[in-house]
Amino acid sequence: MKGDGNIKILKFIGAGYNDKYQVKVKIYCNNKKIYEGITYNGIIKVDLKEENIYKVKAYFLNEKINTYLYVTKKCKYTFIFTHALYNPRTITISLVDLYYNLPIERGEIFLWQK
Amino acid sequence: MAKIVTITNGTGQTELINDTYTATAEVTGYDNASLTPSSITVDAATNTYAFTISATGTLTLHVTDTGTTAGTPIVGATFIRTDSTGTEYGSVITTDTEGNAVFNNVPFADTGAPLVYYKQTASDGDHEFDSTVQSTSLATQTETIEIINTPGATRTINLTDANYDNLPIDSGSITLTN
Repeated sequence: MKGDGNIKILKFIGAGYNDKYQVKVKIYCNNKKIYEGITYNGIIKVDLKEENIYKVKAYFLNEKINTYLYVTKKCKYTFIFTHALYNPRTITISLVDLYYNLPIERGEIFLWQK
Repeated sequence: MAKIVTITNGTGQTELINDTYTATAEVTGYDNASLTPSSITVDAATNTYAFTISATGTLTLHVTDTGTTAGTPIVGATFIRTDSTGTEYGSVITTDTEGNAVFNNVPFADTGAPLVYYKQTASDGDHEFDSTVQSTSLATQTETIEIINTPGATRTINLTDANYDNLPIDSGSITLTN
């Protein structure tokens, strides 16, 4: 199925450092495959019709994204491989005094990647 | 290249990818080698990681009726550590027969030592005390602070007959319990 001339950007996060690894992507509409390709720097550009619902399938290592996408006027859509090694996310670190359970007011923790 | 997590009031945040990391600390006043755990494995299922650290300083609070080394010790006065807002942490410590209450494992540093907050929660029942949050910093590993608990002021108690105005009661006693 062709789109309506609106090229949409689908961004896939987590496939390698800076999303460098290629992700295989398939897009379906009404159970019919309308796109199959691979990402470049985590991105594919595809012509999708607005106000349509598509099924997006993407594969990276052992993780699969299988979700519906409702296309609007928005240009960019993001998908995340939540279990991928290179999916950076915000981590909260707490530091308290061992004997008093008292939060440390000021300090720094250095995390060295092994 | 290390990721540096700045800790403010017990927490800090950073962006990390899943991996195993060795952790070191720079916390003024604390024994940085005591950071526990020394490594963490960041995985997809966990976004919060907890560390502890300890210090080796000793703060002695010496409580007397004059606030000097020569004063009469106050036995049974109690103190607890707090943060700057008065929230209590750790266990209550009590003055011994020499009037000393000891906080172990408090931070110290010759420069930039963090403030140690504490407050007195009780005296021996016969002395007044200041219950507000106090603070100090330790420039050396062991320090002592003199604290005054003044004797209760002498008060006059009158007991008169309820049916005969101003007729003093000859003898008797009144018990006041707080």
